[in-house]
Amino acid sequence: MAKRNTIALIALGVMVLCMAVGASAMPALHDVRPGYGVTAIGWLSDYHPPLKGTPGDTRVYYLDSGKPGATVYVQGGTHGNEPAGIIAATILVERAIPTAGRLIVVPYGNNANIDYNDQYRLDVPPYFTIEVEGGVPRTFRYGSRRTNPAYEAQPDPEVYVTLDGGVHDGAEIRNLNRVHPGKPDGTLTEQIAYAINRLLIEEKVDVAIDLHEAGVGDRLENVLVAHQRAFMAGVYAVLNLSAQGLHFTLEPSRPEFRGLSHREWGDHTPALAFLTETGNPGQTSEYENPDIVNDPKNPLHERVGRQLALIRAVLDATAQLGLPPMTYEGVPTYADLVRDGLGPWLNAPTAQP
Amino acid sequence: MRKAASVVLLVALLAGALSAAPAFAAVEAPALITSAGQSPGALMVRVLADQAGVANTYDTLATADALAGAKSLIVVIGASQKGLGAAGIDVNQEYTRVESLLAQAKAQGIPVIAMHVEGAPRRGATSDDLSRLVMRYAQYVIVRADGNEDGFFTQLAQQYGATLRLIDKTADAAAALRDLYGN
Ligand SMILES: [Zn+2]
Repeated sequence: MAKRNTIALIALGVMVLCMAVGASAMPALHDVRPGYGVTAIGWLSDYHPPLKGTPGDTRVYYLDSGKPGATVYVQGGTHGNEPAGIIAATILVERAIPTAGRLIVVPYGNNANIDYNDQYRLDVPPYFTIEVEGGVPRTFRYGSRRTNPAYEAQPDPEVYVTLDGGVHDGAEIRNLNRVHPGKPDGTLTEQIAYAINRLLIEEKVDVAIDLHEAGVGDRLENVLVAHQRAFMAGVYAVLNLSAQGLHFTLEPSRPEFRGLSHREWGDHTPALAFLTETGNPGQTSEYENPDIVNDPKNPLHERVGRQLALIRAVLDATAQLGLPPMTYEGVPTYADLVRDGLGPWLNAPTAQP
Repeated sequence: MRKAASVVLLVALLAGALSAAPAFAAVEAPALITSAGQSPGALMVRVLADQAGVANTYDTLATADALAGAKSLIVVIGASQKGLGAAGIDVNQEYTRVESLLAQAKAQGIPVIAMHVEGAPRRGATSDDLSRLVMRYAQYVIVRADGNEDGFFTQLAQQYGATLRLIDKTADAAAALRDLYGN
């Protein structure tokens, strides 16, 4: 009896190990079509080799102007069900031509939640399409807030306590935006956070922006959160956006709430850290069968336009406050996206850059 | 459609110009800029006051003695739990501080400008309580229009006889201050 239990335990152990490492050997690959601005493509695992060959690895795109300036990090897809940041980051990779400084873009910050359906919304399909020039559809995944539990070796704990003593619901151990700055020997999600932290340090990132979405009408909709060191830049950015007719509400990073990117990137790296949110119909509980792309009030192109305008405004603000500039051309303005939609601003299969 | 919209816009602009221009008598600088509720709006107003050329001292936790030397008091309303937490105070302490500052301004005959520049997201029970307090003392009110969709500030301005100016964008507060201070 004892022997049989031991064998069962070993079998279970092997299964768990396979789930943690084997079953998921490769990270999800996405439809991203880099433009002429991209000077190198790497992996997040370059900053933490144990991530290599896991679903938590993800592509890192480098756009180096070759001219002096600030190094800026933009991340979409912390949460796989928040597409505006993913598409804003994708447009930067496909269209930005840097003219000063260096831009590093990760469109899928937590690549291990993008193929997961947590059943939070059964009325939002796991894919969405955007028609680009020539009427060609491009398809993007719509994932979940937290890492696919199949990719974690351990079940969720009862309670999740961050490095700095923050206390969260146990499932939040799979929420990338609760586990910063991560752990090199932690869960897959914690290792993703750790690798991002290493990237920010090793690449000497000056400004880091984490792109999110929240429900329409949520108190986080159209919010810019700025770390204390980045707060004055946040003020300038919000005023600059306001002059363009785009309302954003500025909030400081809460010191008592640990594990969030704007907090931990700002505390653990030299970067000025920001997080922004737009209003996603797919995260809005009052909406039935929301259309995350063509919702009449909050269409995806408008939300992407807000996010790209915000990135530009933050970089203008940091330059205004004395940081070296990071500039680029080729990226649509808010007005461009409201006029054209997303189609003309994503690379088509046959597009000439 | 477009033509009709332009006409409406023109009429609105004219009406705005006619009603706003004579209503705003000049207020004198230097201004003391403080917060009621510790939201980032006060810092935004300081930046905009600088842009508008309004000499100012900025103290989000100003008490009555900070009024020495000030010729006007700008109170920027907006409650932020994060901001109050960062300042290490609670809502009651904030209310008491602002109330005594306003009473002192009144005693010294210093005009009070109430500002609410962060729009609808910065409304709420705590912000509204602070607004009701500040509006009792204010002669001039500058409010971002989306924070007044229910007419909250219009009604308070009427009740206390204050001059209300609505702005569409936070950044437009610079122009409103320029007009108010005659810059
Ligand atoms: Zn998010």
